[in-house]
Amino acid sequence: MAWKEKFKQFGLPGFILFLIISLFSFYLITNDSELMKDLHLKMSKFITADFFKYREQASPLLQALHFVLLILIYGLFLVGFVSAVLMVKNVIMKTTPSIISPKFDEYESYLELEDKLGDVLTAFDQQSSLRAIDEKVTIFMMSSHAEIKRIFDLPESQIEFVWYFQGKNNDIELVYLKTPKDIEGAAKLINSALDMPYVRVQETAVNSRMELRESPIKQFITVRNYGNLKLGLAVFILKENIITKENLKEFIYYTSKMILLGTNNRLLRHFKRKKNTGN
Amino acid sequence: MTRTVKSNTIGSSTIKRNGAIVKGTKGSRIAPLSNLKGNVSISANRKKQNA
Repeated sequence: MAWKEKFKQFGLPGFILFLIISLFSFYLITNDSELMKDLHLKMSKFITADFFKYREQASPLLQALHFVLLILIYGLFLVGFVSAVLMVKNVIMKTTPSIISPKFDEYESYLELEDKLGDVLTAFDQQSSLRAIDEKVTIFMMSSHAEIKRIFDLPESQIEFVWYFQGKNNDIELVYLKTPKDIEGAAKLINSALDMPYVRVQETAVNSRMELRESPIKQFITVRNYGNLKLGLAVFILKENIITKENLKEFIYYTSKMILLGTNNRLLRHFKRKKNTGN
Repeated sequence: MTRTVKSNTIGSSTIKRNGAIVKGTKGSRIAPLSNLKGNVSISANRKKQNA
């Protein structure tokens, strides 16, 4: 949509200018006789001051100056009008949505997630019972899932999450709150992503891989910490064409804080403990 | 979140892996997955609900 981009670039003033130019050319086509004189006459008609009245007998030079002055005055009017329109536009476009803006909600949900992490960390400090800590870790995992669900705007049934960390002998241990539909495929994707030095890896067309042609997983994205694998989160999307530039940007922003989670040993220990209780 | 959390909703698996896990060193972009390892042996441990 190239024209849409162009329109956005020039915005409303451009549109008004375009309107005026098209009206002018329309006028030009319909009345070709003595255009300038006609225009001059019409322009001076709206101004009541004597000085601006059109005079037939004035010299051509005076008439030309008169005309230029009129154009300047109309130009000033136009600038004022355009800025007034822009002001109204700003009021409508910017202030109103902020009351119901999604941005506001996003900010709130980030804070809520931070709260949940805070619950976990204070539970460590208070030496709460393992069961209590475990519950708080689970709640934190669930809120992280909820956040990512919101980023990709997907319902529960179309997205799956697997947390992973390093086990013995380079094995990868997986922990999940809900068993993924295709755990074999999920394992293949996670395993392959760990062959790459990138902390974030994505596969937007999972079914294009021979081995995963039949898999219900359509798109895959994962994030883990820098350095040796400590903790990673894999996201499996069961619907096609969900990942876009915008939601990827938000995913990166959101996970940039998450990649530090694995470096908290106490938290990591509890993820490992979850693995054992899961068995 | 007021939902009660049950630990038995948690499942886990282990991927048996040949070769070392590559260190994460690059984060400037999201890399597309380069190649897929076909044969992955996995042992899933499922703790079934109400089982």
